[in-house]
Amino acid sequence: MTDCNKVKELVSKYVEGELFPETKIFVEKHLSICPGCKEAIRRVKILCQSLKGLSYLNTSPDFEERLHQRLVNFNNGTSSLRVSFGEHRWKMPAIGVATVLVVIVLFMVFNSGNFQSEEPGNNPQNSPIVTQQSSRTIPPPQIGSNPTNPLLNQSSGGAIQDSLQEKSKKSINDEGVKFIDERKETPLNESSK
Amino acid sequence: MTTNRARKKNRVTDEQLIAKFQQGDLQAFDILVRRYKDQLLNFVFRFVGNRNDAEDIVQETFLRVYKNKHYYREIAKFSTWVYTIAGNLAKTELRRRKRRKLFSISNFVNEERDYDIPDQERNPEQQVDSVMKDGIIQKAIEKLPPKFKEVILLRDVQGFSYEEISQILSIPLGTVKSRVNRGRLKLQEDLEFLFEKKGESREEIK
Repeated sequence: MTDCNKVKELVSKYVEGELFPETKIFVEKHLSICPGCKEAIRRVKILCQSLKGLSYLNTSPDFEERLHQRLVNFNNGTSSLRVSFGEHRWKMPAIGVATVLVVIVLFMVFNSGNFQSEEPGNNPQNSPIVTQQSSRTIPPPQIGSNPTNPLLNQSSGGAIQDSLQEKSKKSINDEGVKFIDERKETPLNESSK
Repeated sequence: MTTNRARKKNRVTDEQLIAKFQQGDLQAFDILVRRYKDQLLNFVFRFVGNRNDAEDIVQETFLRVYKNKHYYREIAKFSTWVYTIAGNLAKTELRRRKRRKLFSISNFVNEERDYDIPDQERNPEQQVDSVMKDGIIQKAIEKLPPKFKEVILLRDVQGFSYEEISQILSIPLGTVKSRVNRGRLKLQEDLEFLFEKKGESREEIK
């Protein structure tokens, strides 16, 4: 770093008399041989004086009255703090509404894709395997007569067939339960005998 | 002189007033408003360059003091607290304007024109009265980047110490000092007319 750059960094401290004696001697030695830095010091001194001498403004006569009115409004809850910037109060709700709309649109777009894939088979299940099954033209009686295939049973689609299958399952289950119950009951009866 | 000194000595301090206000004394708040409204206006006006906006920001500052009185702690001076609020609001206003300017080409052109006040062809010493001089300095201040502008205003216009500025802006003392120095050097580059020596300007006219 050149001496000029060093001195430029110290201009304000020199003007305000904040330099250590050794540094002050260094600066003054440099100023005696460098008109550029000497001029910079002169300018900063004038600048500081000019800034201190800037005209002084007073608040308008009704400043306190307006402030009190705003405080009254604030206390009554009829006004937010940012009254003076009220023109921008629409921004937050607008951003919120826009976000909600975007989410709704995205949701609709996403779901419409799913509905399209489900529509041909009218199948309430979301499984792709089931959809493939439902797209095939399999006669209902065959499906109904094949209770061993759970996949085909699921893809039957007909309400009547569903109820029939449920009935047959129930009857099997009921019988099975009965059968099991009878088997369980027999030894108990025997033992009781 | 002695009566003034005695008055100052007996004067209730800002910190005592805010303490009273925190306990519900609204008159204490009114006194604080009267003490600070003009100096805050000058600080904010030099910052944003528009009187109406400046007055709105000062009102907003007092509303925030009113609402947030319980957040004030006596570890800091009331003056540094209130200047921090006003400075933050002023910076927000400048950022808002900058965003607006991005969408308005006409504003941009007008503002560029506003800065060309110094008239190079005439003798500035004869032309510039105190009001004009004030206006030119104000325009030069407005051109400064905010980080230099705030320290220059607090130090050279408002007369705060470096330590107080450090508290107001929450930046290290060394940073404040270097920013003040760099800010002054930047500012003097835009204020040529202030530094012309009498002899030099007369020679130019001849």
